[in-house]
Amino acid sequence: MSGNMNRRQFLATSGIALAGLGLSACGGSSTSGNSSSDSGSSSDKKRIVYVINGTLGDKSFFDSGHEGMEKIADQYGDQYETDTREMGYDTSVWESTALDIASEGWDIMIMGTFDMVEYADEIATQYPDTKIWFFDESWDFNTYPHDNIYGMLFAQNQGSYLVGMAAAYATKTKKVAFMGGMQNKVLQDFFVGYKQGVAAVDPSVEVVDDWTQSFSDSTIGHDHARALYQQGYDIVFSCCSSCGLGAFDAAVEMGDGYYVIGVDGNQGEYWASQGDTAKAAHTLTSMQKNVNNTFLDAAGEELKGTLPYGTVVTYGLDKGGVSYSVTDTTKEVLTEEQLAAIDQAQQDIIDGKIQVDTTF
Amino acid sequence: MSDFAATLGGIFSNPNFYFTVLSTTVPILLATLGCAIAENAGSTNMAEEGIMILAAFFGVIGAAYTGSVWIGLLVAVVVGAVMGLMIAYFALYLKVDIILVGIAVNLIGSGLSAFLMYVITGDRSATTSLHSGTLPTISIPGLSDIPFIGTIISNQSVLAWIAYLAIPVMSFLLYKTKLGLRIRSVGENPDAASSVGVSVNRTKMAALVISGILGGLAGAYLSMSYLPYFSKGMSGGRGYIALAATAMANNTPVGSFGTSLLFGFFYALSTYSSTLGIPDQLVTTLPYVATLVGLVIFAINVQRKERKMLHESGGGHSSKAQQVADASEA
Repeated sequence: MSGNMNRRQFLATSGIALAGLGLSACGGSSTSGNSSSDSGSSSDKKRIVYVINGTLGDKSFFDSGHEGMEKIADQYGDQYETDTREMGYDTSVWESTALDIASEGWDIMIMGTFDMVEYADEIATQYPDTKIWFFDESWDFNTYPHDNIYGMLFAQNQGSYLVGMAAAYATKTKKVAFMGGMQNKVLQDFFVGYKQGVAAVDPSVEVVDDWTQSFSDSTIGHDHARALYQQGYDIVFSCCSSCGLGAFDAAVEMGDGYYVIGVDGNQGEYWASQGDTAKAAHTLTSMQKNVNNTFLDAAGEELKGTLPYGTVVTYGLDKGGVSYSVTDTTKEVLTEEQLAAIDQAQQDIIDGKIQVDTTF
Repeated sequence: MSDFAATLGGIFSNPNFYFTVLSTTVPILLATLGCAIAENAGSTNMAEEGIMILAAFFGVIGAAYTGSVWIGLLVAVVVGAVMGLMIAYFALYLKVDIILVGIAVNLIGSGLSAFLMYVITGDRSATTSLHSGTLPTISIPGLSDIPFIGTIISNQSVLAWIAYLAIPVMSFLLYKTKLGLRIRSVGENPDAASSVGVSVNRTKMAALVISGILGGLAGAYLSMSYLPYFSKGMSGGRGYIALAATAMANNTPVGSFGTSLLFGFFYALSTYSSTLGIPDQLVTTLPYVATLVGLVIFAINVQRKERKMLHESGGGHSSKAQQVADASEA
């Protein structure tokens, strides 16, 4: 009887433990895109993988990169074989997962953000034949000298300058906010550009920076944005991936006159496409980081053999690496003169007449 | 520094801040009450985190596919109750360690909700495409006209009212009803309870089901009031905070209210921290520091009480002076 009981206990315990582990693993790494298992056999296609240290579905940064992968598959499908891998938000598995993926022998691995620098360094050392396109963090070739790494940086400061102008034009309270996920160099770069753009229009407008310490939890983004609105900051530039989605809900709750500036993708257009007109109406503009285009550009150059490995290339307004979006809401809130002024500033930045502050 | 004081004063005199305190307290409070009732029956329910996230997810799915948030709420509550029942079955009848069951449910919760979200909706981080809607908010005409208080309490979600009403209801249940007496006696001394004919397992099961329902309500609040969609990992550790809050509250409903309010307060303060010019990391650690301090105070109290009981039962003639000396010692 007791032996039987023990076996039952054992089975039950191990059963639920296994179920738990198995299911939680589903949240971890998963595969999507068009991979094929028999690759690398005789095909001379370049195998290229986009490694995400997070998950798709943020409607901005990572999704845009995935779009880039789809564009590569569309345009150069005969020469590239693409795949996208999500590693989830559990930082403790990133190193091992990235190394696992590297061991599959890819020709090119695309990865990015400041969290991944050390792992990319490790991979570049262990797999000299694998090329790495490292985006969204200035690769320090003095500390990590690798000739198989190509650095892609976005001039987020330039795009942020333009949406900062939009914020300064749109604010009624003369107080605008920036909401970032974590105080790293890239997000600081967003902030300094934004601040400068606001000051260029009206130096009396107050700019506050707020850090949520999260890139994934929408409830935190919602609460922070709401707190900012409640304190009279009527425009919030929301820069924290999935966490930032909550800002749109906060703006809708607050009602007329409160706006979010989206990031990375054209979030106003996204909400409109989802039929979420309320959120679209509260999205002033978006600072687009066109990760998709830069991936596609790099893929084109790689085929020509002109991709400058060992250097960092900055994709600014001139190369379409960043841009600001104009939606119906933007046109409603801003006058034509104001929009023309922003366009003029864009041209001035490209021409070098305006120097935008940067943290790099 | 005076700048800091002025900003802090500005926050504390802003009724909207207290609105945020009350609304962020709700899910913690519900989960804390859930932990507390299970704890009263002598079962540690570690699984509020997992119950919350599953209820939040299924609630949204239920609401989206039936077009009614009320059915969504019902689904969330049922999911919570079923999870409570499941935990009870594993822990009480299959004799699995209840802590292990809790950990398993939490792992299942975070993984399964993310997995099913992708399978059912195709979304990977949030179900924004479902338009599942939110539960109504309540503003009582007379009350909302009161200047300061009105802003704080009006337009809170119907679930917030349920959560705060749950405090007296639970006090009544625990201390004034037969079931409450059974729950407490089973938690205090299961052998004594069973010797007078109380079914220990059935009583614990009832407590765990109530605990699950409260977790389900907390989950529904997250995805159908707080935000109008389910977002991956949206329980955000509140189930674990609830465990700490329960311990600090000595498992009483009123104490649970106090401790969860403490967490709600510091969480709300952290969202306002940017204008204070102090690092957000610092403010977000405050509730945990407060927990540590609270637990130390709690432990000292328990020790003092035990020593007092020892004195009374051992010596039987502990003088008033001795007790005072003990107290000052502690």
